[in-house]
Amino acid sequence: MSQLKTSVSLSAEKTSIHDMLKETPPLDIPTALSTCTSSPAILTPSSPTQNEDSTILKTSSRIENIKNWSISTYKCTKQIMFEKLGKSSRTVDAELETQIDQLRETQKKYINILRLARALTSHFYHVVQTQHALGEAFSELAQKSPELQEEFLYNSETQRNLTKNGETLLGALNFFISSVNTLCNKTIEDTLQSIRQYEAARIEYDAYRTDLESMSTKPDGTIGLEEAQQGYELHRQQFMKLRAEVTIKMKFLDENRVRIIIFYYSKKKKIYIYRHIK
Amino acid sequence: MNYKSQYSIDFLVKKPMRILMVGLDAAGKTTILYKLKLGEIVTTIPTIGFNVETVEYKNISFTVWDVGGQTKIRKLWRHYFANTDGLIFVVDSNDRDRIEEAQFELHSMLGEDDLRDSILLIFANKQDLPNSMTTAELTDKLNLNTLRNRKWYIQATCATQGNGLYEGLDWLSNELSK
Repeated sequence: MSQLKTSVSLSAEKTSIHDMLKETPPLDIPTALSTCTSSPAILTPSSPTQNEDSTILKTSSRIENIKNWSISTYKCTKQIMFEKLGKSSRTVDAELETQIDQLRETQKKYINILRLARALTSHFYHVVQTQHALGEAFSELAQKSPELQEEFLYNSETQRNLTKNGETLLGALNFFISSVNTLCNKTIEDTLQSIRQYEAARIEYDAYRTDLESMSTKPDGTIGLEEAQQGYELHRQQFMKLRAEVTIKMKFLDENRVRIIIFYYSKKKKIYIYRHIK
Repeated sequence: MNYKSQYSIDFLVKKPMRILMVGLDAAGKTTILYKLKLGEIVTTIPTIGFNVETVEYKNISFTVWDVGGQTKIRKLWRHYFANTDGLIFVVDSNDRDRIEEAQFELHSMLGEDDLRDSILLIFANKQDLPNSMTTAELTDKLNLNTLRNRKWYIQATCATQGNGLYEGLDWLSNELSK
């Protein structure tokens, strides 16, 4: 069961990359490649012709959108491939990335706790049910066999008390499960979603950065330089924005997680002690 | 086995709804959250960061995000705007001095792109206090009638007694199932 879950979450981590690879229409690659590497300037001057007619404007803006999309998808795919081949550099924020890895690890551990707590609750629910039935059976016997009435009544009373305490603990366990469930599947998930956006933005940023670097080293590449610089600046801002968001969210999340566990643990412990004293 | 099937049914039937609950500090957000979750009043301290609880009501599973309202952390609200179905804005109906400030925070938040499609519920909290403003008065002071392209609803509440909270959730669930 746990094996299955880990493999699922691992593949989920990778989906963004695979999706991006899939999203790129394979036919676009050669065309985009030729235009992009030979003279990037060709892609830009479509704007003056747009002013002629509104319909042309609409279609051309749509074409422009598709074009921009395929260029950026192509760039990102290239960046991913080159990173994997070790041909391109990537921006590394070691501290943040360790934190991200830790968070994913934490989520896995909490999911495991959630699974175990659910299993315990299920077993314990049946224990309580059985205790209840046993208590009933003893009290029934007490009615029917007067010679052992006192003993049977004592037994049934004990079972009933156990059932009552058991129900309190069940309530606490259900509450604990609900809280950990919210933590795993809502709170942590929300931060992970931001992290996935951040990682996608990182690739885009690196792609534009590599582009700009390769263009500025080329002597004849000055025509598209400004365009590349704009793209670079835009994606750098996006990347920085998401980076700040991830940092803040992780800090908040950590405080929230600690508070939740301390709160519920103290609550649960009290009930455990209560149960054992009784 | 029993509980497992129960959970899977919950998952299929209950519609998830993401709720963001904000407002100025000391408006009663955390008290509302735990009143809904536990049905009891918990002693709260000013929230630094946030609290999240899942509240099941009428076949909807509300995930309520309660984000702290202190001035210095208000700018962090926007990190939790994405994917919000419903926004709950809590006002202290008794706090006449800061109603202007609440109005400002509400309107600047509604200008955000991420909240374009979310519906707005206003909890006019602390209605039990003698000097509290009525919902009509608050509608005026919060400039709610100037809102365009926004579904909104104002509900008088008293979190400590639990009055009005479920009426608010009723409105949210009705709007969501439309």
